[in-house]
Amino acid sequence: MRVLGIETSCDETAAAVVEDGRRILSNVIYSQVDTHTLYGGIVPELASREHIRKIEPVVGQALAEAGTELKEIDGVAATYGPGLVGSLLVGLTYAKALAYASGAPWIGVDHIEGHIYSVFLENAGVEFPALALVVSGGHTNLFWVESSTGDCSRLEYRLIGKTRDDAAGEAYDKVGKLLGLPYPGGPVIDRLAALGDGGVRHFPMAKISDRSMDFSFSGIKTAVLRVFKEEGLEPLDEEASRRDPDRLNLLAGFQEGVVRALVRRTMEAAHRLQPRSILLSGGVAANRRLRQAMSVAAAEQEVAFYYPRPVLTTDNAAMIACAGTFRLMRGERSSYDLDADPGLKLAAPAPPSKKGRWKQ
Amino acid sequence: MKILAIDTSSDHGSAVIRFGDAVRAEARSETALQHSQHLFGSLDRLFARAGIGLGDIDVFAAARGPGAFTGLRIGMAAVEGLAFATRKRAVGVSTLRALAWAAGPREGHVAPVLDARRGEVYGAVFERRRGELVEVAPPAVGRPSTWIESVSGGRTTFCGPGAGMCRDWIRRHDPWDIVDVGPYLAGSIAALAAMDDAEPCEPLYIRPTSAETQRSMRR
Repeated sequence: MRVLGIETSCDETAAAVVEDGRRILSNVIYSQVDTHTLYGGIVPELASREHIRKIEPVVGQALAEAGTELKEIDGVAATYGPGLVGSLLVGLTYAKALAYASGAPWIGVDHIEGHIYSVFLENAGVEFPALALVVSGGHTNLFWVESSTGDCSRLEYRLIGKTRDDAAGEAYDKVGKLLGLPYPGGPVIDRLAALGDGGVRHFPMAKISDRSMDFSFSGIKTAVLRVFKEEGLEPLDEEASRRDPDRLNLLAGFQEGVVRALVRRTMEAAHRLQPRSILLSGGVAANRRLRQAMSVAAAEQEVAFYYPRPVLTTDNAAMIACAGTFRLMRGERSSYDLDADPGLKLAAPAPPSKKGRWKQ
Repeated sequence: MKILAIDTSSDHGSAVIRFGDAVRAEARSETALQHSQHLFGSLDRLFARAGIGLGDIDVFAAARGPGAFTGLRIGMAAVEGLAFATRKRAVGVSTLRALAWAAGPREGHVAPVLDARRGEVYGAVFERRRGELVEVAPPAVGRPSTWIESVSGGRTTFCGPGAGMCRDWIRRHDPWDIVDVGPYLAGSIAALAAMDDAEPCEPLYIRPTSAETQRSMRR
């Protein structure tokens, strides 16, 4: 089954062709980052303007690179939420039009489910149940994922932890902006933090008193802001930051704080729930320190740990095609009246009971 | 030439199929559903009424603005996708031009006006000559009092949902009046798409985003 995926939920215009949910025939991503960098963050109307300009060339390129034509496509999958409504509507409507005209079945895909499926594109043997941490500029969600078939062909999700304020990637963006670094903050802070010592400045993990598995990242962002003000720091670009050891240590300390919070929460959940696998996805999953720390922690608990390669961590359409393929293969179809849903939730919050798993 | 035209520029969506110099079928949105929900269902009804199929369409046309662009981009994305899939032509028609055409043959000028929000209007001035629209003043955006200054004296018919915002100034000019052309523009879009001067299927923004404006003011 050859599926065309389309993703326009935020600031990447993306299209991909995936065979049988595993083989990526093409994966085209037009990033609008150069546009939004000028404004220090995503401007929704500009994102929509870029999507309508790029959707046709991006889809055309994805089909051409896959060496396929629309009439050879067996299904069309598009993100319908969560995300920016004006952005979502461009890709969603374009996808519906292609399916309507070609007669191929079409399916709307939850963007967050897409991120989880980004792991399965290159890892066929993932065992369930699994813990899935999805971390990006817009989301920080920890899911308990169960399979009724033993593989990723039919999954059920429970949301066991989420951020109570900023997403992890958002904290990177805000700290980056404060310190004079370009948007998005994640990649550049990851590069600079690797040159510093994360042990010099300690940013403690936010305390969440109710034993939930939620995250909080606004406190660490505020702590960096306090240091910035109290020590009278100046914004520095990447080159100047590189030559300032104190700045590198500050960034390394911040990164260490975020990574520690993500890893510790995930491992607490793993200890209580005993998953067979841990899955890390979303844009922040490209962070090298996070990958390394989670990998070490998972090995200590003897749990298999999977993450996608960097190009599949940020928003892409291969993951949407993959998630869509498994839904189409089990006979699911979306109606043409499916609307964009900016606040779409993959699963309702369902924290486990104190003793372990859920009551049956 | 068979044309499918889609208008998603306002809350009142419409779509038509036109061939042989006449509209053969029209679908108007009569519910509060969003364009993205009802659009393809409307197309099903439209093809059934026109007695032709999607493969018979030669040109797909969409309103390209100005107006509410979140809605407009739904129409344009649909038209681009349908045209791409069927390897046919996609064209765009300015909403101001479509409004002017909807006013029908008029003596003097026709000035379509749209509410541009933030107390501003989009407007343009056309003259209808021998069955075609000639642009007298290009599309512009501004406060009603400012924009109306660019409309030259003679007999002018104002139309469109923004005309009411200019009512005070229009009343003071004797040969000026306002005509109601209704909210459904797909018929006019199809008529204009049938002419040779169809425009690309790309949004006609006129006004930069507020982020761009603020940035250029800071520099």
